[in-house]
Amino acid sequence: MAKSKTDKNKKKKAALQKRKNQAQQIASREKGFYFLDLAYDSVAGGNLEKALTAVTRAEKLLPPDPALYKLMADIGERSKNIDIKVRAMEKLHEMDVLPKEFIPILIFHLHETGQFSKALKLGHPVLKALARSRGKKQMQLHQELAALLSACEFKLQVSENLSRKPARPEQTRQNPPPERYPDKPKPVSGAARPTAPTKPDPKTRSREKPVKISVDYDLDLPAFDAILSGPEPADPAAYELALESHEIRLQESFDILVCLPSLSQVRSFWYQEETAKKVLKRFRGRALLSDEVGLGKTIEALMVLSEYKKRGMVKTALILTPTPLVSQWKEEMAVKFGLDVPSTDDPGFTSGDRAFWQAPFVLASINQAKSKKNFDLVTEKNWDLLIVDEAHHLKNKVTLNWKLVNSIQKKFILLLTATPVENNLMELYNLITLLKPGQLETAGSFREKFMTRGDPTDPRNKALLRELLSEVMIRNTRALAGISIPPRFAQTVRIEPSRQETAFYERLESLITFMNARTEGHGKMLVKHLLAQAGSSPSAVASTLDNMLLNNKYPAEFHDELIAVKTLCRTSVDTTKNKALLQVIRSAKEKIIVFVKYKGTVTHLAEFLEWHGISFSLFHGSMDNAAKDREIKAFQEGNQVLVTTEIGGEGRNLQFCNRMINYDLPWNPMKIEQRIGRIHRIGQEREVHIFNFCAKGSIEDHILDILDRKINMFEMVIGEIDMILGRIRGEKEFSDLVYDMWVTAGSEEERKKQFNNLGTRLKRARTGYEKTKELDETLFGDTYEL
Amino acid sequence: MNSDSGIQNQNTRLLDFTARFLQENGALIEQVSRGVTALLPEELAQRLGTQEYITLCTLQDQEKAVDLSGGSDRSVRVYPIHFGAPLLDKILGFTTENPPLLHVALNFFYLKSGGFDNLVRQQFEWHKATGSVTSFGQIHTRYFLLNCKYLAQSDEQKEGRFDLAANLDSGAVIPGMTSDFAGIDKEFKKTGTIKFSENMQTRLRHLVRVYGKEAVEQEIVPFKSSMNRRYARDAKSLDAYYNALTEEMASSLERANMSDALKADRKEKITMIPEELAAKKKDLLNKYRIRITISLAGAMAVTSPAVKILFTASVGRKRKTLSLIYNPVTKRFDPLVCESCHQSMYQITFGNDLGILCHTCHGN
Repeated sequence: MAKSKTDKNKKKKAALQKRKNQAQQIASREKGFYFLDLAYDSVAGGNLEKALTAVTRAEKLLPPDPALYKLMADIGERSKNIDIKVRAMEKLHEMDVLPKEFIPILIFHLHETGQFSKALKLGHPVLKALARSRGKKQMQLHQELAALLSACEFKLQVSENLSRKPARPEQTRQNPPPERYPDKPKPVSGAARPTAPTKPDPKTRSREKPVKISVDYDLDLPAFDAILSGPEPADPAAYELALESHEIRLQESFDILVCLPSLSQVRSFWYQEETAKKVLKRFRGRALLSDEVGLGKTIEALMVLSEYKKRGMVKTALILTPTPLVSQWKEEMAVKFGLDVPSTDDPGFTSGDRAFWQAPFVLASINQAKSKKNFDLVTEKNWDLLIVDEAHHLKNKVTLNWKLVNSIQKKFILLLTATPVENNLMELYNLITLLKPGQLETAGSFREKFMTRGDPTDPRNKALLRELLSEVMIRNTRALAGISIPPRFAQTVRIEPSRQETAFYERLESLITFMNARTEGHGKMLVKHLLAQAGSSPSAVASTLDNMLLNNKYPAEFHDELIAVKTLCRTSVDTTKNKALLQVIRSAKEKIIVFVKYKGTVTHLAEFLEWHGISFSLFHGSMDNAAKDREIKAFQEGNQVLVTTEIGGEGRNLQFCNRMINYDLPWNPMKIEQRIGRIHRIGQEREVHIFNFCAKGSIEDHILDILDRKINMFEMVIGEIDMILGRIRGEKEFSDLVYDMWVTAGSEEERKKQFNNLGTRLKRARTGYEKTKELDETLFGDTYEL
Repeated sequence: MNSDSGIQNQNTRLLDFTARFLQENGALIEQVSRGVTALLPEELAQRLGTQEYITLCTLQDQEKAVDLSGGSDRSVRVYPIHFGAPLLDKILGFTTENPPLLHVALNFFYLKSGGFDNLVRQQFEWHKATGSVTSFGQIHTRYFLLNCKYLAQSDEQKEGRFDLAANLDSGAVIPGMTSDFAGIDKEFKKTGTIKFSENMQTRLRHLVRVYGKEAVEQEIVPFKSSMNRRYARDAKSLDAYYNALTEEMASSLERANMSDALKADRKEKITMIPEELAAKKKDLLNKYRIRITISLAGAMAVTSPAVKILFTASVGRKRKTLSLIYNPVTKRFDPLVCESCHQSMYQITFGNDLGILCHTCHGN
């Protein structure tokens, strides 16, 4: 009986205790929920510290709850408390409620907080799962995760090595005792003789040990020598500034172009800078720059070169261009980028000269580079950067151009062309294969996937093609660049020369013909020069003749003729051409720039304008900078006319003026374009009016007839004339073509015929260019813009 | 974090840096509402290519910054300071032109005066030897802190910094000394030069090569792995392309209408493919090859009080007395230096002649 009473009491007590515990648990839970609510409210109110305290207390009082840990992770994220975030995510992972896409983030945070073993433990299964996936995102994630885990392994090893006391030497002996580990297995009796090794199966090639890239170390000895030579001690503040400067430099990634501050002569546009950054960061130095004409691909390419050079990543570079463009590139590189590099246009250049190609930076015509004498010299050298201008000349794989570029050893390569496709998509394939072989697979596979039977310019699978091209190509459009300049209009002023002027011109022509015949074409430069000067002014010719007579550098038989022509040069300033000039200036009533080629003509016009009371400024290469500034200022603030040579206004803002006169005409259309470009450029707000002067029947008259009447050059967009000329150019410059036609034609009829033919060729070239332009616009549109 | 406020903070920091540079070089600085005005000495203004009275501001404040000088061309007097700004670039060029050398003497209120036996036992490991501290005394010793930077270049580049500290008297590299330095009482010396013997110069360069390489290797693990990954990916692409090309060309040989000459030409091209592939891979290897240049950003020649301990080691029946330096900065002993390879070490082995060696040299 007593026993049962004791048992009853015990049971009662146990039940009471149980109720008590339950009540306590309920009370705890209530309290826990209270803190959880408090945590939510605190987060909403922005008081993260309070929220963290509340959620931590709630965690102690409540059973594991996903909602609690989600809140904790959120608090950790908002308050940048990685430890809290990691702890919460780990708990969620343990409860198997952490979404899969968050696991890599957790691994990353474990790495950040130095929990390498946990990161590895979590990471390996994820890595295995990702290795089985096919998606592009999954593959990328796999790569990133693999790298992260590799870093964790390494760091774990390092920290274990540092913390572990090394074992006694006997235990770390490299060579185990021979009696335990025989070097070779004992042969088993009766075993077959080993067979010869078979050729490796291509499928198992991937299992071969991967090639590791080399890592080379070097010391910057001058910096060490400077310190170790015992310099005077520095000031602590200077020391701190120096270290801080290095920290600032470290923060400059390819997001900042470090070359820009030193490019004071370049006015780069935002899209050019962004293009250079994209080439450096995303395309890593291998790109097809195919901006529309006139947007400055040259500037973009040279910015990339300058940036790589400034960072020391490029120490050698080869620039290949069509022959007529070598001088243009040379000038642009020297003036705008301060890069004075040897070129195949230099007087001292000899084909086959090894020393020329060994220079660190070389500018060469592609025709010279691919010639027998130079091909091996070019291809045997390792170039850090190769730039190829007008890369549409590489559109055919069987050409020597393509083979040359393919054979050149290079780290980085830029191909420049405004027209990557002219007739056939395979042209694009051939270009891209030069940049990244395999990017568009094989030729057969490309044809199969992307080309339409019967129409070689109509692509299939456009989305896939676009994706592949966007990894190597940039094509900025005028629309993107925001380039909108008012139109330009041209007028040709044909001048009927006076009797005196006709006599002069005819006498000079006969002298030139005589000289050309007698020197068998060897005096071409001089003859060409005189002819061009004749188109400028008699004063210009006179100065050349004076030099010839003074230096006595001519065959004796020319002497009398030279004197005769020189006498005819002495005309008054009131030539018919000058009268026409006066008429244009007076009717304009606005500021006007007069371009001339020769300093002699500048002097001649200065005299003329002064005589007629026209206010003017002069500008030419012989003036110092201060004088140039003064003259431009005077033109801007008061004078009506600026008479300038070809350098006129380079680097100076002349867009306040919208009228210009080509008093004489360069025979190279690109030079004409450059003159027009002084005022017809970004910043010009008014329509530009161009007056082209020429004497009737002169060589300039014929040139203008072709450029203006046949192809309407003066109303084209900047840069288009170059595209058209490129189609007919071949190896000869336009000016040489024109000169040769002029001097070799036997009669005026023949001359006209030859010029007509040239005009027809240009017209055809323009039509061809417009078709290509239309095709490229259809193919690429604005898809490959920045 | 709001990216705009991040940029603003960065630019403010750059502005502060620029102002300090100008002040350090004799300019008078005044904080104004949207920037800083500075009156530069003539020489400094000429050096920087600016006017003498200028305003510095962040890019965001450029329009509103105070321009006290007036005149039509504001751009010659108001300088926005941001990454890539020309004036900042010039200043960075000047400050990093010649690595500065600071002469520092450390002062300690208290130097450890006992318990060295215990510390020796904790830090050093003596192979087949025992020993004890026999005496100690206060000395002054010389350290050299090298603030190094590295530039790793491949088809991208990575830069970073690391510091090394070496005991000039023993030649040992002192782990952890550069990070423990900040809170110690220092006296800066502005006169006097330090002469380094040829041996010491060679030794220091060697230390930077060896230990610098270790430091950099750790930093560039992700960079290296990225370049290896890129190379592997591009090489794989090349393999796939040329394999497919070979197959395509080989299968085209079976076409009935192909002439013998064309077949021969194509066969020749097929045989040249491996050479072309090898050349392209060589280009890739060259492109991704990593070149690391280690340079000096600055250095500190430090004189510090220390405690020199005489430790007598018993190696069998022989005895050897060694000098150990207790470093009050790290609060540990400096490592000893292997007499063969000059590696710094805490695990000491004795050679036959009682020379101290590292395990590797002893094993050899």
